[in-house]
Amino acid sequence: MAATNQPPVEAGNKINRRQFVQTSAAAGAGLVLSPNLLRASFFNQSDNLNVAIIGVGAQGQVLLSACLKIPNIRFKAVCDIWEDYNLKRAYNLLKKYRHDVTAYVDHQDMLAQEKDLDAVIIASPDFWHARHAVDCLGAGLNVYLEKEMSNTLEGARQIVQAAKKSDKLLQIGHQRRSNPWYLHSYHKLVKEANALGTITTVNGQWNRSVQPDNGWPVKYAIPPAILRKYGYDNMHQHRNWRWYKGKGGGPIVDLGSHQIDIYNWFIGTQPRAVMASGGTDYYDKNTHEWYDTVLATYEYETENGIVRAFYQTITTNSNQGYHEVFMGDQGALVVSESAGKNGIYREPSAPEWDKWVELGYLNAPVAPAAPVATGAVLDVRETVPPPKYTMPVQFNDPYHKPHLENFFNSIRGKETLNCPVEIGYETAVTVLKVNEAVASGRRLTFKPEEFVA
Amino acid sequence: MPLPKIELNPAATDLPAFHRFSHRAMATVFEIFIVCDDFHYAEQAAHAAFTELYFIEMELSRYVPGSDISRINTLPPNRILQIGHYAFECLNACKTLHTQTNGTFDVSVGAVLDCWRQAGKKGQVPDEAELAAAKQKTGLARLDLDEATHTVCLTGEHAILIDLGGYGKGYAVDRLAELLDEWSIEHALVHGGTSSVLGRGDLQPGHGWPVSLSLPEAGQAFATSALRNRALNGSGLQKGQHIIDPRTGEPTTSQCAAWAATSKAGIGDALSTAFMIMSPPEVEAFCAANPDVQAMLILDENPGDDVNHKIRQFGAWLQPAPSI
Repeated sequence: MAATNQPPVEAGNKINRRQFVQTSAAAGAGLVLSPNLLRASFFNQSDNLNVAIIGVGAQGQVLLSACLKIPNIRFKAVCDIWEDYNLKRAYNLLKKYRHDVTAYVDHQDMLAQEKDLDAVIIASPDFWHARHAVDCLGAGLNVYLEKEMSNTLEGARQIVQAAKKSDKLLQIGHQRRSNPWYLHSYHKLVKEANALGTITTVNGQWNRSVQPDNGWPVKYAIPPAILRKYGYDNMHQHRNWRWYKGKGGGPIVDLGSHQIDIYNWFIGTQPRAVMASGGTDYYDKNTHEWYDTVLATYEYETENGIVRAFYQTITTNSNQGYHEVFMGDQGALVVSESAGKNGIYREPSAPEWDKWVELGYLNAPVAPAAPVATGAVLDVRETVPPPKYTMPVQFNDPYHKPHLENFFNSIRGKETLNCPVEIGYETAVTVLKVNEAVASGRRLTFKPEEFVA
Repeated sequence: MPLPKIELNPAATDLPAFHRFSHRAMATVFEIFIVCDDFHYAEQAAHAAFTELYFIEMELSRYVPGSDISRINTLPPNRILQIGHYAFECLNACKTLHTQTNGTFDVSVGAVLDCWRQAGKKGQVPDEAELAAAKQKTGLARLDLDEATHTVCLTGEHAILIDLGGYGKGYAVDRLAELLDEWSIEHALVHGGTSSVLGRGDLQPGHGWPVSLSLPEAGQAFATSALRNRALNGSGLQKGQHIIDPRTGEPTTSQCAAWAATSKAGIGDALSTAFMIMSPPEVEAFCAANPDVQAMLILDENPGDDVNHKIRQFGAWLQPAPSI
């Protein structure tokens, strides 16, 4: 399926119609409305969406916080099995925003009780995704599902089938697909300007420092019977599910998935093969069943030739953090959610990019200071760095907000999803194969039909 | 970049149950000292607290794109913006403190401060036109907050530049201490860059957390105190910084250092800043009206003066006697 990503309307903040009317009316009439009158027109009840969230651990809280910065989103329900801690925390937060919210431990209770929901955000552990997504779609709700779609391909396929049966929307939480930096990079620079020329190689990483296992406040431990009911052997496993086989997929899935998704998007196809090296090299294998270190290399076959794409995730050193680098015969693009890194570098032999600077696709590099005129042919100094072009993109919102807005506006019929389930499935297939490649120690191939559920 | 090194007194901290955890945030180092028999549990609690600190910084820092403060700082007047709870709580408290301190604490003077900083780098005073333009971006009264919707709206004709530098660290220290409470950690000290400090429980049974107050230039302790469920915040001009009197938009020279002792590090952070700007009689009146607050000032007098003549203390310090 073709990507449905929309190019940014303007590089930067979109001004919505209501805001435009608000300011232009006030300016035109030469009168200034009071803040409370402005608030009354800002919130539009007819745009309200009633939303629930399942799973308010670390990631769920990030999504919740982003949603609370989007107009006309009203939370009606919050669901988490950690009743005394995460559930209470999220519930209390929503009460501070005066949302008429009910707290649930079990998602079935929530779906049985809540009858006027429009959408559910699912940020539960990966091994719960299939069950949660299938049940919510079955209840006739639009779903925003955190990546990875599932810890197993079987689970991911169940979700695709449920989505096909439903007339509701399913957005997968690869939030870079809605990020203005990535949209500009893809639509303007890679596609329209073809600034990289023929992409030959990709490099990417997400490196993190050593961390202790997640603990929990001792007085708020979940009772063992509840843990067992929801698939956990003990509290440690609940708090560290990402490291356990049968629960999560380890860092290559938690972190790598976001970026390998971008590889597929920018290269325009799925890989034909992968090799990978990895293992639990540093941490305790009893509590870190999945690999703490993974280095993977994909091969893509495109109409312009072969692309080799390397990706590494390590959990013992945070050097250089996270980013992706797309390299072609004419330029290199460094792109990251962490915007300070973003830049694009022209190969010395490539055609000038003046046209793209004039069109506002790129900002020209800052020219080095000219030497004082002496009649000398050259000023000899430290090595000149390669000229760094930057992107004229203003993005001043939390990382996940545009992707959630794209989901909510798609429900309202104003946009189309930037990451529908078919794309999420392709990425799940691409990423889950890495763990298989590590285990087998061999080069594994993909058949084109594997990417279709 | 390595973390800034903060020396501890080995004699005070050489206890088997004393654990120290450090983390870079808010352009400084935050630390958590925990007295607890279980190192692993203390480490996990500190890790949870530092994770929370990351999220606090992501919402409060004016230098982080996408933070609520960045979003407010690019907000045109007469628009509505929904913000996160951390930023809302901070701004709400900062508005209250602005009023309580008669305008001497003001998180909206960042633009004026930037003017003085930029000029200071060149050894100059700011250009009058630039200063006038900067002053248009101030005015906490223009920031209209609505609790029910957690929204802000900027009134007037100009943008604003909020910098929570005088409150955010203390706010984070308070929040981290609350989180350690949730973890049943009874004995802990949390500090942000040594200027915002909160002690809970004791380092040694019954004695709270011993801390000292030093002269900025000498680094020599002139007083000690013990923090037991108590915060101590310090402000000073030791690094060639300017503190702007929001009432005039000019740097102030009232004090060269000030401390505030209170029950919350956020409030103390704001008050230690305000005490740099208030005159000593104003500080005295403030402490008389707020019995929970104690102040210590180092007056900016001739360098040759006897140091004891420069010290002013107000309110009932538990161990007040300055000793040199």
